[in-house]
Amino acid sequence: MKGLAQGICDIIHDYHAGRANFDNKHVIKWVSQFDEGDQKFILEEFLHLLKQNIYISEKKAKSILIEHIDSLAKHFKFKDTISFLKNVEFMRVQDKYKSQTVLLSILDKELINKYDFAVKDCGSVSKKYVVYLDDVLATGGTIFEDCKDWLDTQNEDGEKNFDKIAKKEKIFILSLLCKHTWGADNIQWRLKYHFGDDRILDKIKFQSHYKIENHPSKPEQKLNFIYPVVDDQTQMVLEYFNNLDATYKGEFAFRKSNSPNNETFFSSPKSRKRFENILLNKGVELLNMPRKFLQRNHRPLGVSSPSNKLLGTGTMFFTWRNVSNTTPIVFWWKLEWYPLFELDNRGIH
Amino acid sequence: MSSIRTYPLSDCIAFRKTKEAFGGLSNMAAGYSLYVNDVIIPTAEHLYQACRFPNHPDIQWDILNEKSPMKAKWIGRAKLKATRKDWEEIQFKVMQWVLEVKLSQNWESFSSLLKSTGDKSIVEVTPHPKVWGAVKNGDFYEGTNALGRLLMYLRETYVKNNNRNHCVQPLEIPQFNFMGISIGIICDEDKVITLEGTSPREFVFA
Repeated sequence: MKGLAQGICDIIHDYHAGRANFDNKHVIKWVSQFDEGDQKFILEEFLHLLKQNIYISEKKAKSILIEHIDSLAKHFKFKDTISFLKNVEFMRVQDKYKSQTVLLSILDKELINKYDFAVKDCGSVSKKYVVYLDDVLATGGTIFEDCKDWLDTQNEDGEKNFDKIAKKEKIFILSLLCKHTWGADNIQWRLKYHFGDDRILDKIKFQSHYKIENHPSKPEQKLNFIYPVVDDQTQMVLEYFNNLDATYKGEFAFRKSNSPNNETFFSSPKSRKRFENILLNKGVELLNMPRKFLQRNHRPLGVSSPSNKLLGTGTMFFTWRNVSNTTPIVFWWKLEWYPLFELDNRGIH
Repeated sequence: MSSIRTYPLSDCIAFRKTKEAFGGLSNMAAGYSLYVNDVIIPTAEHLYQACRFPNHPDIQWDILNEKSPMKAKWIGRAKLKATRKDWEEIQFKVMQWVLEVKLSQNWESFSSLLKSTGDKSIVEVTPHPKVWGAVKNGDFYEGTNALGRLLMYLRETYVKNNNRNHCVQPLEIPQFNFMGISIGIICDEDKVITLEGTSPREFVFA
């Protein structure tokens, strides 16, 4: 157990820039809250998953941000990165403690280090390329709102950004550490619906370091997230699900038992099922505890749209900065539970 | 829906190609994408063809991935053996459902187009007699004109009285599946309350 816990610490040690003081005791204290017979298995499987680069350290994030910009410069056929940056505008729409602001600040330092070129110097030639930086695109709710507002904004010439994008006078790029395939489609559809115009569908360029293939209707998805099957679920889970005060998308709540076609994420199909069910059952247990308030979007496998009858987003992707609350709640829940990843800026517990 | 109808040319809105003034009435028209089981579908024709193969998500996926609606139709035709057995009996119901989804999810543009046809008969003109359209015969169009009649039904039921249908009910037929999942009630985005305003990163919990 100690060795496994240390293995996990070695990967996630810079969470909250080291403030979390991770050591193997912290990990063991967390895992001790699960049934004794499951504890070693949880650590083994979680370590197996972490080794697949689902945790992004600050150092890794720095290199990804630069790689992304270099790659965009190449993709759009600029002679070098600086020439590209002179035609780039970075969107700044999130509050100062949010991921976008943090990522922009890191990118600024990295650009100065590598190219002696600051973010404030971008766009001096044109603002044709508009880049929206963020860490995780999960359900797509936040990014949709930001995109919609920006696309609705008028330029000095009176033309909306939407029209400039439709005419390819501007290129809109979502540059992410991680995207969920379902969330990405959801953003595209909602934008099409909002503007009543199909031209937006192929105009948003997605760039992401890691992709969570969670689309419930698309074929050959890796399903590299927590997505339990309905078979063998406990009475507690089924009751929780049936009583959910939500209407939509219940048909997507459980994984088809024969999927994924080929298991490439968990150590085996059997381990997938066991790990998923442990996280689901513990999550339901935590949500079933009596308390005054519970948000409608709280689900055992992480925050989800409140109107959707789903068990949670089930994200298995973590960054040093702050864990997404779309990950299963056993990772970050704090009420009568000791979290593995403490959350910042998430309100009062 | 099989009886032959006759429509005077002068009293018709006729369409043949998607690029014509009323081309948007065609199932092949781009610009009216649909969303079923959270998959974006390029045209009504793609969805209609996919409905032939409820137990073959692989064929449905091939159809969806074909950009051209005409080629999507060819994929459907090439897989006739895999077509659901009751297709002949249910095809009109399926087409009506597809058109209702198209209208619900493209209300502004598609209802405007239908409204602009006024009280005229809507006819899909085909070069040869086909159940979905009608052929020109002197001063008349003649044929079953099933698509035109369904479009007129939509115009009368939903468009004329601005009676927007926000949620389309699934057909009560066996195996009404799309991409391996049963098709349920389909509501447009105005009906679906999502995380807007309470984004995953901003919630406060007790």
